[in-house]
Amino acid sequence: MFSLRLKLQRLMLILLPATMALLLTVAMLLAQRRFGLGGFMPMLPLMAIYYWSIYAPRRMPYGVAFVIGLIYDSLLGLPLGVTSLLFMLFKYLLQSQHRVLAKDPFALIWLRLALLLAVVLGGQWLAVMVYFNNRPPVDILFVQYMLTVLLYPVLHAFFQRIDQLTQRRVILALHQG
Amino acid sequence: MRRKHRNFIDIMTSAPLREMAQRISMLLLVTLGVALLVLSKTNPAFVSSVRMTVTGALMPMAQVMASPVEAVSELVATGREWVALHSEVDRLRAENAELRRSNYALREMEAENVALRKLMNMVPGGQARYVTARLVTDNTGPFMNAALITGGSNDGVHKNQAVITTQGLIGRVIESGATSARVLLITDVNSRIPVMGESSREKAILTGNNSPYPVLSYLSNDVRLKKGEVVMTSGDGGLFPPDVPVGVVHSVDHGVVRIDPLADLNRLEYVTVVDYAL
Repeated sequence: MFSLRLKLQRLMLILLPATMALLLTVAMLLAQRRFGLGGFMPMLPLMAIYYWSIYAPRRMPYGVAFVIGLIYDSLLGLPLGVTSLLFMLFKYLLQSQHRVLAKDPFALIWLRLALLLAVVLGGQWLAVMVYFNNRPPVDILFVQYMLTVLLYPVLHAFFQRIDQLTQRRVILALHQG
Repeated sequence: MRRKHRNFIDIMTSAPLREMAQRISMLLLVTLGVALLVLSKTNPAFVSSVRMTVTGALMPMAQVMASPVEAVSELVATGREWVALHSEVDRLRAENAELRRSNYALREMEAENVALRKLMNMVPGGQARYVTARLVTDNTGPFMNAALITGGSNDGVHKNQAVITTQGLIGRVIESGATSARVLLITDVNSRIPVMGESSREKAILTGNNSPYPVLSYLSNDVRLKKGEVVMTSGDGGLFPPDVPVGVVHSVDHGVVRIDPLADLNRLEYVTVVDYAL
């Protein structure tokens, strides 16, 4: 019989990727207001989806990517479903090779993010252009792309640390329970 | 029994079955995503209500997350105010004297206005209703120059109402949920506002271009607007009342007139949503 503490720690571990992605989606909006970034903001939730799709894909299922996409669209006033579909495509491209990816050196992982991010942002740009019937500015999108790529190493290290800490707590609870 | 149960779990969590379940869920989600996308085009009102419900649900979380940063910013702002207190008092005294002078003139004009209206038997316009709201975000991304505010339909904030600050017009409400609303800023590429020059009375449409300086469209060939002239709403189309200040002419270059909004759209804190009951 597992102790309540162990169950809670396990639940925290399971929910960590989804919670992180949700917090980062909201934080993305708040950060650009507080730090006066205007429209230039890194795509923070995508980084969480990317990290956990590589290292713990079962804790970042398609459903979570879909819901985070829906929240993103709702907060940004985009047509519902655009980002959900793009996040799923992003995850699908990763999922097919996650076993290889997880063993790759960090530089390769970073490079792959840069390539896949271009697909997602390009797709989003096209969808918004068709939906609103006007051409969204490319320069802001480019800055968003660059910010996301440049910020990824920092968040990668943060995700790694927080995931390790949570896993350690589960192991500790397992030993004590 | 326990062994049977364990076998069942083993089968359900085996790799091929898990992969199949994943593919099915992915197909279902893709279908749902496409359906939502189609719905966004065919039934925008429904999709807008879903969007604002989700946004409203996340608003308390956003406010909690923002509170520590806001507390620090307020502390810094208070410190700055203390440092600038003396010069601020002098400035306010001078401003107060100036306001008193203009107040006398305005009172005179008001009395004259009332008398003239009586003479002309003019039907009085409706009273505007004001709702003050706080900004949660002032720019929601690379695709849209829009802001999220804390007021919603529960507070009387509805679609198409004008949003102003003490400086001037900043935009209009495009989506309203129960506790929050989205404001399309005048700089957004989808924003169109009928305006006119304060002194030249030249009419045009203020068109956002996602830059800090929206441009005037549908101007006459002979542009009479001059740099520095105040531009205000013309009231055409019935969406906004006339004479709400919007901006000043920033530049006139080969027939392209750029407007500098009076309100600082990057430093919005509190805004007023105005229901002119038009």
